[in-house]
Amino acid sequence: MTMAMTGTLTGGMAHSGALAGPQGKKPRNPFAPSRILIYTVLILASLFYLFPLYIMVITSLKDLEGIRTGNLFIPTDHPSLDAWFKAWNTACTGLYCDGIKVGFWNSVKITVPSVIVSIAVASVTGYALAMWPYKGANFFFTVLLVGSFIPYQVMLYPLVIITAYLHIFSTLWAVIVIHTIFGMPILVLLFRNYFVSVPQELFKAARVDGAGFWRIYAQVLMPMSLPIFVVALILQVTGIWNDFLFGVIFAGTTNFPITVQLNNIVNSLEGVKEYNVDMAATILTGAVPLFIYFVSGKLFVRGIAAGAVKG
Amino acid sequence: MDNSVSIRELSVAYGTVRVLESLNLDISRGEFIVLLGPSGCGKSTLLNCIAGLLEPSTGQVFIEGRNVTWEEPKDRGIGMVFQSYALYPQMTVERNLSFGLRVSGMKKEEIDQRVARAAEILQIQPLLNRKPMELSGGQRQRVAIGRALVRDVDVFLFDEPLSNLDAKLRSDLRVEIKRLHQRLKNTMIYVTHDQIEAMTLADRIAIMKNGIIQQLATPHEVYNHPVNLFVAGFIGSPTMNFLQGQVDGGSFAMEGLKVPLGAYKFETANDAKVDGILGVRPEHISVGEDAKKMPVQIESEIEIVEPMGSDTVAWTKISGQSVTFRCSSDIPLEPGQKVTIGFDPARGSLFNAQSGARV
Repeated sequence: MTMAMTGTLTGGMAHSGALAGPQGKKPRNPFAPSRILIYTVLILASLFYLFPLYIMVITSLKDLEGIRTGNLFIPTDHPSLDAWFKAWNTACTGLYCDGIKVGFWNSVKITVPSVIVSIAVASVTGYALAMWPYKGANFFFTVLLVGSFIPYQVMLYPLVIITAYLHIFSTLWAVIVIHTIFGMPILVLLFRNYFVSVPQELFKAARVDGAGFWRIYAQVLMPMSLPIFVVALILQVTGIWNDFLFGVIFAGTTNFPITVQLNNIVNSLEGVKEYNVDMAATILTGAVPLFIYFVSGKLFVRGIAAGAVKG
Repeated sequence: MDNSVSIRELSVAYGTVRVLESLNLDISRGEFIVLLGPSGCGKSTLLNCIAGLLEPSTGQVFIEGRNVTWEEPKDRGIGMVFQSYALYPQMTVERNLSFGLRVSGMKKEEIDQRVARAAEILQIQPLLNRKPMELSGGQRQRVAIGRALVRDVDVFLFDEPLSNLDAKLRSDLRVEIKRLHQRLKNTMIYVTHDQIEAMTLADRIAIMKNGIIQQLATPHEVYNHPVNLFVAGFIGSPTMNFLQGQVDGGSFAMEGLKVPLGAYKFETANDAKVDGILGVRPEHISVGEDAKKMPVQIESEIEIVEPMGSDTVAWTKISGQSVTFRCSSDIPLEPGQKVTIGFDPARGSLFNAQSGARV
C-alpha cells in the first residue's frame, strides 16, 4: 500500500524533479586564493607573536654557558629549571636578594583588593547612574567621562602629598587606594553603558515585585551581566598587575610590585648578565595576565553567546 | 469610594513638554478599561503613574479608595505586565513567578500554592523549570501575566502586552486575557494602540491624544458616536469616510448632493450655517438592492476593489470625494462598474469642520 502510494506520488511529481545544473549547497574550494591568503596572514601573525615567547622559554631553560655558545633559536639538549628557581627565590633586586617571589606576592596583595573593590564600587555606581537617575546624575557622569581622559601623571605629585598626609605613603594601601580610584572612570563608564542597554521594563517589573535598590542589583542585574564583569576583570587585572608607575612611586622599597622588581633584575648593571634568569622572571611576571586571558576569555565568549541567544 | 482606581487632576510634564494635562479618570471595581491612542499620546505615562513607576508633577492617584500617590509600586496592590515581557532571564519560570512573593518574605508553602494556582490558570505547569529564553513569545507573555497573577492584586496593569506577538498569537492571547478577566473579575487597565484589542476587550475605552482623554465610553458608543473627528478617524478599519460640505439647517450640502439631516440627532443647536464634515462608516454604505432602501442614494463608479475574503472593500466617489464602502464578498464588483450606493445619514456622525467636535 505504502509502496503503491509512493509510486504514484513519484510518478505524479516526476516533472518537478531536480534538473541538471547547480543544486543545493555551493561547494567550497578549500584552496581558493582568498582562503590561502587568510590562513597565511593568520599563521604569520601568530608566528610573529609566538616567536618571542619561544625564544624566552628555550633561553630560560638553558644555562649561561649554553646561552653564550649556543644558537639563540635552538633549544638546549639538557634543559634545566635552575634559572626559574633562581628568578623566583634568589635573584637580586636592588638591595634584596629574595627573588621575584616577593614582588609577585606584593602584586597579588595589590591586585586582588583593588580589582574587587573597584569592580564592586564601579558596578554599583554604573547601575545607579543607569537605572536610578537622580538630579545631577548626568553632571556626575560627565565628570567621570572627563576623568577617564586625564593622564594620571598630572596627579602624581598631589597624590604623593595626599598619601603622605594620610600616612599611607610607602605602603601597599597607597597603591591599592590609588588603583581603585583610577580604575573608577573607565569602569563606571563600562558598567553604566552596559546597564543602560538592559531593558528598562525589567527594572520596572522588579520594582513592581517589590525589589529595592540592592536586591535588583544582586538578584536581577548581576546574574545577567556576567560578560561585562568578565571584561572589567580582564581590564583591571591586567591594568593593575602591569602597572609600574604607581608601584615604584607609592609602594615603598619593600613593597615593590613584580613589575618594578623585574625591572630591577633585568636592568641590573652589576655582575654577569643572566639572560636565562631574566627570561624566567619575565615569563613569571607575565604569567598572571596570560592566565586571566586564557581562563576568562573562554567565560567571556560564553557570556556573549548566552546574551546573543537571549536577545 | 466605590471606584477601584481614581485619577485626580493628574499632570506629568518633562520640562516644558506636558505629557498629561490635569487628567481625571474613575474606574469601577472589576472594570476592564483600555487606554487607546497613537504613540506619544500619554497612555503609557498614565499607566506608569498608576503603577507608581513614574512620579506625577501634580495630581493624585487613588487605588481602592486609598491615596497611593506617594507609595511604592509594591504597596499599591497592582500587578503589571510589560510589552517586552520583562522576565528575569537568569531565573526559571517558577522563580520568575515567585520572585515578588519571595521578596515580600512569604512562607514557602503559600508561595508554592500561589505559583501552582497561577500556573494552572495560565496552563504553564510544564514550563515551570524552564528559563525564559527557552520559551516562545506567547509562553513568555503568559509567564509575565502569571507574575502579576500570583501577587493576588486588586488591579492589573497591561502595557501593550500583545504588541510583540505575531497576529495569530495576539488574537489567541487576547481571548485568554478576556477569559482571565471574566474568571478573576479584577480591575484591569490595558494600554494599547491596537483598536481591535481595545474594541474586543474593553468595558470602556479611553481614547487619548496629546495627554487628554478625548472620549471615555463603551466600545459601542465610541464606534457609533465618536465625539470628535480624531476619535472617529482613529477607530474603525477601514477608516470612516469624511465628506466635506456645509451644514445648513436640516441638510448637509455637498457639490451636487444635498443630504437631508431630518433623522440625525444633533448634539448641539444647529441654526448657523457652518462648514461641516459628515462621517460615514464604510460598512454603513450599502450597494445594489440594499442601497435602494436607503434615504440617500448616489450613482457612482467603482474605482478599486479589495477582496478581503469575508467581505469586500471598494473605492468610489461621492460628489468627487473619495469614499470606501464595505459589502458582502458575494456581490460581484468590478472597477469601472456603475453602481447605486446608499447610506442613512442618521447613522453617520456630523462634525464641525473647524473645531472637529461632533454637532
